[in-house]
Amino acid sequence: MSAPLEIHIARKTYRGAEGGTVEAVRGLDLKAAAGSLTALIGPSGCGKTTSLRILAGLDTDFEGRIVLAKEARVGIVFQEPRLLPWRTVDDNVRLVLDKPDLFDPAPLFEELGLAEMRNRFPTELSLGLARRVAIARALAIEPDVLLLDEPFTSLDETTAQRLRHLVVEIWRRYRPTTLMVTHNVREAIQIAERIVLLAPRPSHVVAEVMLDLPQEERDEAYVEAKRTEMVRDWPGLVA
Amino acid sequence: MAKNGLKSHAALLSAVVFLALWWMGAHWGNFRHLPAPEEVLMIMVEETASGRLPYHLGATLTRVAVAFMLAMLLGTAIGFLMGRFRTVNSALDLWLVVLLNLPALVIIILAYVWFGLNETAAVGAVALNKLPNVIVTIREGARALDPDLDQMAKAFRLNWRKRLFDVLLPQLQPYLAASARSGLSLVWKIVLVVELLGRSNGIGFQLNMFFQLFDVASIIAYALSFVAVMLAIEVIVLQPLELRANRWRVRTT
Ligand SMILES: Nc1ncnc2c1ncn2[C@@H]1O[C@H](COP(=O)(O)OP(=O)(O)OP(=O)(O)O)[C@@H](O)[C@H]1O
Ligand SMILES: [Mg+2]
Repeated sequence: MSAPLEIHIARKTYRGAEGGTVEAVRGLDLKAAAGSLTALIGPSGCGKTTSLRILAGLDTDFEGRIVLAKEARVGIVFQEPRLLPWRTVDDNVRLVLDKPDLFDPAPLFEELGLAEMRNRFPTELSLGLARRVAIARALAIEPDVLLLDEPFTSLDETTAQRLRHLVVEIWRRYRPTTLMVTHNVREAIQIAERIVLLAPRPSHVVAEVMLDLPQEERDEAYVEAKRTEMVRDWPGLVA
Repeated sequence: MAKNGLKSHAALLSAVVFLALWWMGAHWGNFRHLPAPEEVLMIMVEETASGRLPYHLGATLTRVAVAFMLAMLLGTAIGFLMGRFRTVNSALDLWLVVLLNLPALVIIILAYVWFGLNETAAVGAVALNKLPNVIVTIREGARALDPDLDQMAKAFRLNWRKRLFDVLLPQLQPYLAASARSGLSLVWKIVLVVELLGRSNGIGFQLNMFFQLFDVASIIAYALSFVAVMLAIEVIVLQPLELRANRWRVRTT
């Protein structure tokens, strides 16, 4: 049930507190086919979070348009976990479900390494654990569209690696149309079908890199070769 | 736990010291109108047995409860709207300041003059006295709401029930608790004035009557009974509620 999506932002400006304006996005056009997996890479402050927020319908104050089926379920992992501190891990995940009684979160918690944490409150979790809960929450609704805003930062490399595999696996299983913002080029090369490079603020699309090899066949050498290639072609944007 | 025990010991000790001082003052002191504790206790027992104390206490408590609920419900709604919407705030801010600074007595007298010496006027006047404090506190809470959580609720398309009970009210809870606390004590003080001025039952009415008879022992007996009930409500209802609501906060000791 994955849904195709399009973002066309002609212009997005923020009004600052002291009356000045910040132009965050100008002329950003991006299409994602149903069931595709796209990574967005761009410098800090270039407007990635802004674009995701607009796509999710959380910000309607912009020039442009969004194409996304109304009934599409959107699972979103914000840059910060944004859990309800007064609800347990379990209740935080159940909160977003229409029929929480029909849902057994145990397998999901197991895969995310949260089985022990189900009855804890978010204030008792490390940031890394809280991020995992946020991921669990987004996956629990079996989303048609999955938006991930730097989901693996502040996790240790082993955990991050495990979660990357998990996200790829879930993506394979349910095929949500996935957009993932990241600063980590290696991560993007490991899991994405396509990498979109964004310019500094006001941001727009600079280039798209297609990665045709299936994820499980991408080894260290492949990732490193691709990265070197990208650094060569877009030295300012890719580190 | 040990700390808790120590705290209740200290509370008990201070009560005992107070009673001892009172007893000594009444028996050995040179105060003309200070009845002894046992005298006051006797009156309490008598008045309870005759049914007079429970009757008047009941009347007062009903007024406290109704006025309190009214003020909390209205104040929460108005305070929330003022905190969220600038236009509502600028429209009502002037009236809020007026209400905040209007002496309780003025509101009570005007309510009786305009609406008659009836129950509605009495309870309404009390609620109106409490209302601005609730509004101010809840408005502060509404301004402090976390926009990130609001976005989360929108993104996951939570229904209004979840938004209210899972997202909104838990954020307002400390503000609700604060205004409930200060509210209850304010309301019962004002209820007594309302009863004194224009009702024919309730603790305030009784106090006025005993005052005219210069019966200080009865005045203290009624006042103490009422304080005891309010204290019980605080300890048995309010505190456990607050404890429950704060379960999720990290214990830092
Ligand atoms: N609410 C706001 N008010 C004013 N300016 C804002 C607001 N939100 C973002 N901005 C500005 O818009 C620009 C884009 O912000 P955005 O959060 O989209 O960046 P980002 O690409 O997600 O950055 P990062 O990689 O650091 O998360 C930044 O320059 C930021 O300062
Ligand atoms: Mg961001």
